[in-house]
Parts: sequence; C-alpha cells; structure tokens
Amino acid sequence: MISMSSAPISIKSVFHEIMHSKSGFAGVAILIFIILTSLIAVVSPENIVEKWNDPQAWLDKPRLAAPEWTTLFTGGNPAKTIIVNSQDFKKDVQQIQPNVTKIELRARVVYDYDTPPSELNIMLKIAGEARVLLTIKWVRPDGSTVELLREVTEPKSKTIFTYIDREVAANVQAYLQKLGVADSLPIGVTLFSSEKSLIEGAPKLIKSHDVKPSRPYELIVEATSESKGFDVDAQLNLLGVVYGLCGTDNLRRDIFLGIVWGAPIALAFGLVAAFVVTLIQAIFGAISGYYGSKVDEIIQRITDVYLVLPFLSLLITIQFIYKTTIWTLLIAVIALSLFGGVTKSVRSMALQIREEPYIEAAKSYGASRRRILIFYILPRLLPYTFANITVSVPAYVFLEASLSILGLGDPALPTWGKLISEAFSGGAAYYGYWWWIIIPSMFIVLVSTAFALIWYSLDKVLNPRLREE
Amino acid sequence: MLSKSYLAKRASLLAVTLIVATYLTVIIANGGGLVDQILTSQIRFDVTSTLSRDPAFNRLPEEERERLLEQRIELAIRAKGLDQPFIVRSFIYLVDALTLRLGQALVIKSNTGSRAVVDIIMERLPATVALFTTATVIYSVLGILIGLVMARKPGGLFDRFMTMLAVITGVIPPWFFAIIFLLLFAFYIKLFPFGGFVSVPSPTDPFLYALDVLYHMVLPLLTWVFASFPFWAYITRNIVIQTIGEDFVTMAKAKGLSEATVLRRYVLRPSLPPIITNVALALIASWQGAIITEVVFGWPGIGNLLNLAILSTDAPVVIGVAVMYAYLLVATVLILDIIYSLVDPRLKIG
Repeated sequence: MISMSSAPISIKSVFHEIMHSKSGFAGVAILIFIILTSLIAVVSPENIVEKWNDPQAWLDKPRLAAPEWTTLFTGGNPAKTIIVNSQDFKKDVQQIQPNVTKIELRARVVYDYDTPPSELNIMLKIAGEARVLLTIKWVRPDGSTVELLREVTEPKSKTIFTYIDREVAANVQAYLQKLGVADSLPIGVTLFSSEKSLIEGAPKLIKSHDVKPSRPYELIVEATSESKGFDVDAQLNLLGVVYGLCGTDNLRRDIFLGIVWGAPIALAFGLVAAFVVTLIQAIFGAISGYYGSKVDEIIQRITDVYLVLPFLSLLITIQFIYKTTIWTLLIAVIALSLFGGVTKSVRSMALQIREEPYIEAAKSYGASRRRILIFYILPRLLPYTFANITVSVPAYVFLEASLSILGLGDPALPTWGKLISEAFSGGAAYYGYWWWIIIPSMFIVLVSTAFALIWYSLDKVLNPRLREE
Repeated sequence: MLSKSYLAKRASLLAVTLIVATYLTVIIANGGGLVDQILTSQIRFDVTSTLSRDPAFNRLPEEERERLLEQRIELAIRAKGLDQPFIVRSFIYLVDALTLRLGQALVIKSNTGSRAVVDIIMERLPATVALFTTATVIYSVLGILIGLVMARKPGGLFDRFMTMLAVITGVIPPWFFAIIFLLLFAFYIKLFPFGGFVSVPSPTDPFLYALDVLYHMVLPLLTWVFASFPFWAYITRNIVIQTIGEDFVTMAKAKGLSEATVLRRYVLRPSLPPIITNVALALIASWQGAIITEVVFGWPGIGNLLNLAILSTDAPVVIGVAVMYAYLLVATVLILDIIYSLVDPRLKIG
C-alpha cells in the first residue's frame, strides 16, 4: 500500500465501517452467498469428491450440455434429460414353457421437446445362469415400431449406447431400407421422427402431443431364458441437450456440483493462505520496525532475498517434483512467502508508531519490549493487516487455479481452478462450450469482487487522505 | 554529491541478496538433490541398455559383465560429476550460476540444436521482450494518464469505478482474461487467431512475416494491457494525490498559478520518481515472461520455456532464467539507487 495512516482505529470500528458502507455491505452479502453455497457441500451426505473422478458415476448425465436456462434466450424447447428408473418400468413375467420364462419390460415416456435427446442409453441388469434371448423395441407415438436389438446374450449387466452401438445401427439401417429411405440418417433422428415423414424424405420430429389423443414413446424390452433365478431390470436414460443450472462437462459431470463442492476448498485455501501469510509477514514487519538495529537488519535482508526469489517458478517446481495435494501446496505457498511486501510496509508503520508518546509512556512505567510489541503495537497494525488479508484471499484462490492450468492441481479434489483448467484443456474456448469456462470463472470473480468490495470499504477508513474531495 | 560509502554498502547488500536467492533457487530447482538421483538412474539405464546391445559384451562371463557394467556406470557418473554429494555440487552450481556459466540443458534443445542454456534462453527472449515490453509501455502510459484523471476528482464516480476495477483486475491473473478473450475474440467474433507466434506455414516476405507476428500478438497484448492498466492507474492516482496534499502545492495554488502549471511543475515532477521506479521494476519483471499467459496463448517466450523446463525437470534452464532475472533486478535496483541519491539528497544518509 502506498500510504498508511497511523490513526488509531480499532478492529471493531473496522467491522462497523464494513457493514455501514454500501460496498462493504455488498461484499459481505456476496461472501455470505458463497459461504451458503459451500455449506451445501459441507452438510450434504453425498460424497461428490469421491464420485468426481469416477467416470461410471456420471452415466445418467448428458455430455457437454448447456445450462437449461439458456433456452430463455435461445427460445424453443430443446431436450432435457429424462431418466426412467427400473421401478418405473412395467414388468410382466410369463411362464411360457415349464422352464422358460419371458420377461417383458415397458417404459412410457411423454416426449414433447423440439429436438431428439443427445443420447438414448439403455442400462440392463440381467441375472441368471444361462444365456438370454433379448429383444428391444422402440414404439413412437404414431404407433410405428423400430426393432433396436435382437440378440442372444450372456446374463450380465450392460449398457447399450444406442446412438453408437453397431448392432443397433445395423438394425436401424435395415428398418430404413424397408421403408425405402435411401440415405442413412442419424439414429436419434430416425427414432424420433414420424414414420410418414421418414418415407416422404423430410424427417420431422413427432411429439407425444402431436397425435390425438396424446401418446407417449415406448421402450419394450423382452427377455426370454430358461435359466434359474432369471431376472431382468432396465433403466432408460434419455439424455438432454441442456442440463441443470450450470451444464455439464466432457465427462458428463454436473458443473453445478463441481462448483458447490469446490466452494469450501476455494474459501478454505484462500482464507488460510491469506491469513497465515499476512499475519506472519506483519509480525516480522512489526518486530523489524520496533526492535530495530540488528534484528531489523536481518529481517530486512531476508525479506530482500524473498522478494528476488522467482515465486511462481519455485512453487511450480516444488509442486511438480513432489506432486502433492492442495494442503501441502498450501504449506509450500506459506514457506515461500514468510517475508514479503507486508513485512516492508508494516515495518515502516511500526517505525512511526514507535515514536508516539503512548509507547514512551508504556516504556516509562516499565512495560517489557515484548509486552509493548504485543499489546501496544500489534493491535494498531491489525486494521491494516485485516485489509491486506481481504485483498489477498482472491489472489490465493487464483493461485490454486493458476497451478491447475499448468496441470499441477490437486489430483483428487474438484477445485474451481481445476474446472477452468479442464475446460481450457478440453478445448472449451475453441469449440465455444462457454458455460464450462464462464460459470466456474464467474464464481472465482465473484469471490474476488466480494473481497475487493470489503477492501474498498476499508481503504476509505485506512487511507482517509486519499478519499478527500 | 554521491556518497561512495552509501553506494558501496547498498551494492554489497544487493550482492549478498543475489547470492542467497540464487542458492535457494539452485536447491529448489534441483528438488533438494532429487534431480541428481533422477540423472544417476538415467545414466544407469542408458549404460546398461547400450552395453546389453553389444554382442561382444554378451559373450563375456557373468562376473566379468557385472564388473564391466559397474565400471562403466561409475565412469559415466563421474564424468557428469554426479559422484560428489549434492551439498558440494550445489555450491558448484551456485558459482557457475553467479558467473553466468549457465552450462548445458538436460532435455531442452534450441531450434538450432544447441543444448547451451544461454542459446536456449536467447532464442526465446525476443518473443517475450517483443510482447511484454510493448505491453508494459502501453499499460504504464495508459495507466499514468488515467491515474491523473482519477486524481483530479478523488471520490468521484470515475475514480470510484476505476479503483474498483483496479482492485478486481489486481487480484485476477492475466491468464484468466486470456481464456475469456480467446472465447470472445477468437471463437465468437473470429477476429484474432487462437494463439501461436506466426501462421503455419509462415509468410516468407519479412514485412508480411512481421505483420503476421503482430496479428498474433494483438490478443496477448490486449490481455496483458487490460489486466494491468487499472492497477497502474490506481498506483499513479495514489502517488499524485499524496503529492497534491503537500504544502508546496497549496503554496503554488495560493500564488495563483494556473491549474495546468501546478499539475505539471509542482505535482507531476515530484511524483515521477516513484512512478518511474514502478515502471522500471515492472519492465524488468516482464522479461521473465508470464508462464501461464504464454502457455495459454502458445507464445514461444521465456514463460513457456520455464514451464517446459519445469515439467521436464530441466534444472539448469530453470536456474538460468532465474539467475538472469535476479541479475537484471539487482542491477536495476542499484541503478535506481544511484539515480535517486543523485536527485534526492535525503537518501544519501540511508
């Protein structure tokens, strides 16, 4: 800071000033919002951190879907995600021969979106000992049927990604040929267009409410086997092209969950780093300024060395060589910033305070040097230290993000920095997946703005001279 | 006149600072000796695989082979000087670094195929200097001008807006704007390329080549200027306002001098030294490049080199860049000291 007043301000009046200035109040309000967001993660019983890097855990989410609210601006009614759980399938078990069981599962989906889903996936759980004859059919609202699959399969769990499955592609192609359609259409378009429009060569999406009375789409899974303990369960995932509040990334992960679970990490890292670093630097500065002579000289020389050290390069080196978690990174950050700018500025403030009469008075009635330092000088430096903490919290939140951009973030945790860096390396800026970059970025900027606003309200108190009209 | 003892004291202090900072950099860049271990096992692997491809070696009896292998490995390790303990070696590294014998890189090569760290750095330096020196000049001039406007009406709407902007851009790192600008200007508006130094294939005509480099430089330049000028304006504003508060300015105003004269002669002139210090230090710092911004834009400068060097544990390159920067910084500080002690007699007493 360029100027510092040494007018006595108590830490209490600092809080008073924050809450009674517009900018301070706005900053605190934003901060409370972020804290509430992070409380969701702290309170929630779900363990998103563990789930985050497990690709199997996100199969029921679309890939690279924009947030749902974008439809407010783009108009239309693009597909949202519809999940039909196994309980919602109508199950019909028939004993067609003494040993042979036929299970029929039916799922009904009312579908009124303007676009086909981005993916149509069927998750099957087949129990039993012998092989199973499996037939999967898709019935449109106009009553036409497409056979997706007819095969003999082992009794095990599997997921059929219909849009990219080879068998399904062959079956759908055969269906189109039977209709006399020459060109090959995407499977999604074929499954969600009326048969009439396909024959006419101008595929048009058919909605449940296009027919009177309205009818849903229907998925029929038929499985026949003579195996003992034979059972089939199915789940139908119609994945949308828009999803949730914040959209999804290229691994189908819900960005909203990443942001919520990243919030406490960002706040904890930023606050702890800012608090510890500023406090240590301030204490060294105060000791340096008040004790003077040899102690001053030593601390100032060490500070000079620290100021010359290439901070970011060394931090990257440490993080690269020891490939550590975010908390050991925190220790490295603190170790590399024990001395710094705050040491210098606090020292010059302490030099001023040292000469004031009340210190003289304290000396005269025999207060020890340590007592004067702790009870007479440090409290005077607190407002300035506090202001410095507020302005350096976002810097540390961004520091974590910076290391993530270089691929040196915490390998396990979903941090905001990692969201942005994954978006960048995933080519979000090159393909225009703006939500993937902009939304996590907005949260980091929001935190920065909150602390900047608080600092601004403090700066008015600490440097009144710079605010005069 | 210039006090020699003051200057000598400052110079020796800076020298000590330089030595200690360089030594710490040497230790950390070598991972506290970890890089030496990596090198040793690399040599062991190389020698073993070379020898095992030699038919004559394979015909030797088992014991003979073992003996020969150990002998060769020991020779190779001694040839690289790795037989000494790291503490001893760290001091050798330190002396080499301080005497600017930057040595050979472990992994990285220059485009001409040279392994000399000096060649590698010198090859990358022009790109960084071109980009960041231009940016520093633009944002400091812009910042000073805006800072003067802010100082004219402290607490006014423009002042408050710029202060807020300064604090926000002050904590947001430039690479963040880089990503946003890429999305905005390269993807949506399609005005500028996504990064790189020149188009591929590059134009052969020197003029067109320069133009192409300039075209690629616009977006990084814009990013750096946008990220830096508000804070710069804020610093200038604070310095100027402090000067305006001085008695001699009130005195000049009382004499009835025009506002322009007061601003130029009584406010700007005494404000200039701290502003110049800041500009000089920022200029030196800019030659270190910006690791992440350069990575994001694929700009082939020192920052990108540092990233590459760190990710391939190429300690000599990391140390080389750090030492050159430390020398530049220390030299700048010393020069500024000399200038100030010439200009401002109060400083001589130190």
